[in-house]
Amino acid sequence: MLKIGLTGGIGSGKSIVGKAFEMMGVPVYVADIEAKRLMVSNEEVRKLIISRFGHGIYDSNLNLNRKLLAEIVFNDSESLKAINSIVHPAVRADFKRWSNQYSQIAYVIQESAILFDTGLYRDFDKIITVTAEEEIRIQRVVDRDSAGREQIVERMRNQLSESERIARADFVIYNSTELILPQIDLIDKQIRFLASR
Amino acid sequence: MGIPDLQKVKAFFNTGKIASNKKLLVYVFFVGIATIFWFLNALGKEYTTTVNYPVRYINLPQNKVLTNKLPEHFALKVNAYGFDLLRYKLSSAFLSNPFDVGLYTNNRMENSSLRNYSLTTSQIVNLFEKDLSSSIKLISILPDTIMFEFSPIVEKKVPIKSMVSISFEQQYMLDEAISLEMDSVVLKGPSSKLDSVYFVETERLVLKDLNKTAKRNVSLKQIKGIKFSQRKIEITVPVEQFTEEKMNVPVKVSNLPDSLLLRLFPGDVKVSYFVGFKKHDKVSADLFDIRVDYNQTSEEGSNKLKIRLLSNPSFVTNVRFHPQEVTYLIEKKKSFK
Repeated sequence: MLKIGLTGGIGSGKSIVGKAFEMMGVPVYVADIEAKRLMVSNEEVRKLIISRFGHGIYDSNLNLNRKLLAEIVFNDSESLKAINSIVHPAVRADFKRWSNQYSQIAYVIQESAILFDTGLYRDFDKIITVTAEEEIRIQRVVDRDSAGREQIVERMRNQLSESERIARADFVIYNSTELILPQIDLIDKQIRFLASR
Repeated sequence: MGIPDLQKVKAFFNTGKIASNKKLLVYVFFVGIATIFWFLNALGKEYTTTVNYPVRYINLPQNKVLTNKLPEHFALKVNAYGFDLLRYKLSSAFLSNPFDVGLYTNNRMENSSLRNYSLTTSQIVNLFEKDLSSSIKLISILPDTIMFEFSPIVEKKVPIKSMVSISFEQQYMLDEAISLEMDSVVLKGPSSKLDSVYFVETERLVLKDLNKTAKRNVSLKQIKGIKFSQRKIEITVPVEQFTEEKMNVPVKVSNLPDSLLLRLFPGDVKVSYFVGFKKHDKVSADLFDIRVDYNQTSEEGSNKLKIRLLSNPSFVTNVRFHPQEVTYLIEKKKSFK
């Protein structure tokens, strides 16, 4: 069973590509969603977050105060590093456990925006990156997150450049105005071929 | 022994040396006869010995679950004639003997609320002896005590997790989520075991190159010591041939005063979507509600409006559109009085 990383910059359309792979019967692990789940349900993760950020970061029902956490990490790079050092290993271990149940199938996918930025790409056999023109990506995020254009551009500047991401990927899906299904279909066939060898 | 030795033996028989050595033949014959008489004589004597007695337990309490391992063999100290012992050993060499728990305990375990029960084997020697050959006298049974540990039976409903591995023919995809005949199963077993069971998996189902909806009966992965309300369930994998299409859809305007006209550039957007082959003829532009809101014209302070997809046909998925904003121009309608 091959482990495939699916990545892409903000607004590139990773999720829609992930959903398409799911429709093709490929199990997809969405790292962002699972990280949020682990921060609430995983006792070890919770303990580490509390020891770093204090008890106030969770309410009495163990709900994470995401707004407070976002404010803290936005203003303090050390806090950002700390939360990443807690959550990333937990996601990594959780993905390993999750993928074990699919040992008999051709491949599974982890969708994550930060595979290259964090070095997580080393855990995967192949990487697919989704890309789109910058203006289209900005428009998508403006529409989705109701965020200001300047703020989105700033977030993009902090991410790996599109050219770098494309250069380091094994497969690229262009998602500006192109049809994505034929591209996904082709990649699926190639990965299944690699898995069968 | 090497090959030359074998050849010597062969030569010995071929040359008829045995036939000529009558003394040896006579000696061998009488040794054989003596052995048979000795054996018959030995079998006719009475012995006290220990025999291995393989057992399988039957008639265990129905309202409890046994949680410990019971001895699979007893060591029976018996007194019998050699013939009877030989007959017993030959007849029971490969068979385990039923051990009727209900009978030997007078069903006390079933009726008791106790979780642990010990049976002293000396108490059942007489009952047990009846199950042996009438010519064998049972003296004692080892182990001297059999411990039965039970756990109460409880019920628990747990979700079923389908373990399906699928691949499709080109352009075939999942039409909807994989569905199970039922989403959960009732398990019955000792609470000590059920406490740690949170879900039940199906056996792995591998479906390759699907090009139509598949229905399969799949066994649920059994858990030792736990009864399932059902052993198999039907899994449906809804498959449809998909295509990805593009269509130009005009952008509508919300909240536009009657006296005004809003010109949009461009006036329509390119919408792409996944749709099943059987339904792709049914897709038309008017089934997509794609709009800009006139009320945002003043708020944004620019000449651009965000386009929103308010609804799309239920049978299309992965809908995207481009561009996501349009330039606008407001005009007053000419009045014709």
